[in-house]
Amino acid sequence: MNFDDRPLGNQYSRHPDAVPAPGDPLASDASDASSIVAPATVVSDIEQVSTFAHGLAEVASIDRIYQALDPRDVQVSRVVALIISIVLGVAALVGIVLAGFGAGFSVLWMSASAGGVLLLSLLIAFLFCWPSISHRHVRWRLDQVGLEIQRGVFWKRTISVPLARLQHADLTQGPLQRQWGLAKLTVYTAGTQHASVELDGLAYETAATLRDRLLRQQGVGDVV
Amino acid sequence: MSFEPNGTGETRNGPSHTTPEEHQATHFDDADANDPARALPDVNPVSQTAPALEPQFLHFSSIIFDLASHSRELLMPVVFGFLGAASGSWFWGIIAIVAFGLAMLRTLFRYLTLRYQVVNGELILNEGLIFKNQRTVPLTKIQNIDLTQNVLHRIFRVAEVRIETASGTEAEAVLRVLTEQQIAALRQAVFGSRNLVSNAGLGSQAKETLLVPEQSGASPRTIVNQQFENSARYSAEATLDAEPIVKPLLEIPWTWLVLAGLAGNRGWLMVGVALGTFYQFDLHEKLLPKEWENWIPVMRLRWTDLLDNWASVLLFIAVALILLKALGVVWYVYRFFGYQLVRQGNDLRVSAGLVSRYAMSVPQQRIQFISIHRPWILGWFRFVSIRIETAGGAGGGEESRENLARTWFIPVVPAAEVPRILNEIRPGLSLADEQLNWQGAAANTCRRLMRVAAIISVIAVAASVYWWNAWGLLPGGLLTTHQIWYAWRRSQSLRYARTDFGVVFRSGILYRKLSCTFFDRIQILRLSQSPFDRRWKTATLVVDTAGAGPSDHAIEIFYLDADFARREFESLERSAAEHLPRWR
Repeated sequence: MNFDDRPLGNQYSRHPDAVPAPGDPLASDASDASSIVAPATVVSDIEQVSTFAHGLAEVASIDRIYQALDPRDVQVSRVVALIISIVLGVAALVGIVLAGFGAGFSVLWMSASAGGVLLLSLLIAFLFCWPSISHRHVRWRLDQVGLEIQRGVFWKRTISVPLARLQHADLTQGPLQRQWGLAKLTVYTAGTQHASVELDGLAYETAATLRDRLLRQQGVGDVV
Repeated sequence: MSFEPNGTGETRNGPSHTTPEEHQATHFDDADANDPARALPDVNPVSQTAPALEPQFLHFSSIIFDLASHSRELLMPVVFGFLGAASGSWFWGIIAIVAFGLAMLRTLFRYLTLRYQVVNGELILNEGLIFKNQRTVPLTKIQNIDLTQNVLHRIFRVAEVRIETASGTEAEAVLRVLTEQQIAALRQAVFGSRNLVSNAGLGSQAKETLLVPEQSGASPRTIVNQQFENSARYSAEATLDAEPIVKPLLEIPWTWLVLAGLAGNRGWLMVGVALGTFYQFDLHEKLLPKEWENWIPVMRLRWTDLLDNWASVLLFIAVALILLKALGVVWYVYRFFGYQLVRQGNDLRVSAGLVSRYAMSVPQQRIQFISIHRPWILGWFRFVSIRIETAGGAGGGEESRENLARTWFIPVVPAAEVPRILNEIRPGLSLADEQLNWQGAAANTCRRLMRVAAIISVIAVAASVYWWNAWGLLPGGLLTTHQIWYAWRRSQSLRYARTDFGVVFRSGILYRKLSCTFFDRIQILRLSQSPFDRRWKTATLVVDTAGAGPSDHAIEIFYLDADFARREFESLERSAAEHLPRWR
């Protein structure tokens, strides 16, 4: 079911190495939008197709290049890291003191405590460093094809959800995310192994707009 | 809209999905809908025809029913509480009160925070206070609204409502409980607007859900009976009295079933199941005489005796094998005697069974995935089995009623018949080798797997030599040979092809599986690269479809060349987006 004679590859070329645009990630870019021409004639036997082709024109107005997560996401992760660190730190302190009173303040106790503190500080350092590292390795984009998400520092995954396959979406906010104005978007398809796809750490407005875009652009009907 | 964190007063006012004409007319307004500064007027041209449902709480009796649904968790503390109180200890009583109080709090919390509404062609469900969640379900995606009403529900004139879409096995929303008026209003809001889009060419399948009965005078009983079953239609409609008049597409003679039983290993499974039930209910203690092990000659033997009595051991093994195979044959004949595949309109109808016959209709347009399995012994005789996957109802085991017709769509068929059957399942479908542009695993895969095999072999040989000295070289050597053979065959066996209809994937060495799915069935695409993959410049491509499971052959293509996989990924992305589901 080709909707145009023109080859798709040229018309909707993707830029894999494009840098995320500054500012509002979903703001429509006039020059970009004009370069995308919605298919004028639609060869179709069912009206769904025309709805879809019409959807293309709308989605095309959204940036087609990769977007990063909201930078505030790192801050939220660090606050979580801080909370975990405080809990672990207090637990470790209590443990060390209790062990000292129980088994005596020996050399063994001192070396064990020092080792424990070292391990704990390594863990805490990791907890504080990891968010910014993993944050840098997440990017997403919405285009006429669908939603694509890339993530993973060592194990790299790219997930693509065709627009028309979306069933429903969840927008979730925890207390910290609400404080920083962030949200998590989860989209669901009828798939089996990867039925839901999460995108955590978006600005709330971006997440809500993206959700509306995803659910509205797909045309009517049932996908399975 | 009550989901407004951080003071962003964004309201969702875009036009809903209605007829394409209306959508066309309003889409330029929609382009501005994401501008938070611009507050769109609250009226839109659709609001008269598709009445939105104002935010609704659950019915207040929900508190009772929600507590009742968690009664099993509460039962233990309450029982202990009573027992404790009876013995004069208040400890368990306090525990029971605390548990009950927590459950009550949770129920109240849920009751007070859950709201649902229908706005702009979407069902919106708000939940939570600290962790807030807003679920948005486009009305067009809603497949069923299922109701449950027991005696207690009927007294309060309420019902438990489950709203389902095509995704997953769980309901997308469980509203426990709503009054009949609320249900009628919800129905009207969800399916009332459906009439607008029903002309959009959804085809016969979807239209069945659109036939919404009149809600006004519906009695409680009829509401309960009106289940908008769509996904599970093939199982619900299975009737035996409608005898086919047309000539069957395929009939399986008993000889094929015997062959399948002899070639397959169903016997082992049956023995496993039998032993499981045997020990589950301690039947060996009740039925068998004491020290029954001694009755079986082999059991009396010691390990060293076996070498002396090799003839009787061989005999025992032979008898056991024959019995196992006989069991397998019995299973196949019992299940599939008189198998018939018939076309009924757009449905493929399977009926089989020796004693209890089952019959199931598989709507042709719901087939997501076709899998051809060739176990090695069956392959010698040029026979295969065909499994299919349909949307919906992926739950249940392999032997469950719903899955029987899919897992064993065609239990055994000569390979020569396959092209004809495939053409019936999906006209024009061909999986002949010469029509597929097969792509194998990356060129370095054999070397990579060999390296893994070498590491395993070295460890195994070292271990076995350590345990059995020089004799250890024998098992170690055998394992090494096997590992090398396996690495070589595995790298050769993986095959992937993209055709004009979809994706074909083949894998397996002895038990070969060939599966295909279609562009319009692809739900999610996934490309992944482990650190090892990056080192060897390969990637794994995953193509996910609905209802995967019965075919037991997920499309996960390992060891593809990284550049090729990326190109295929992007190509499949586009093809999946271009191909909307066909209904005819």
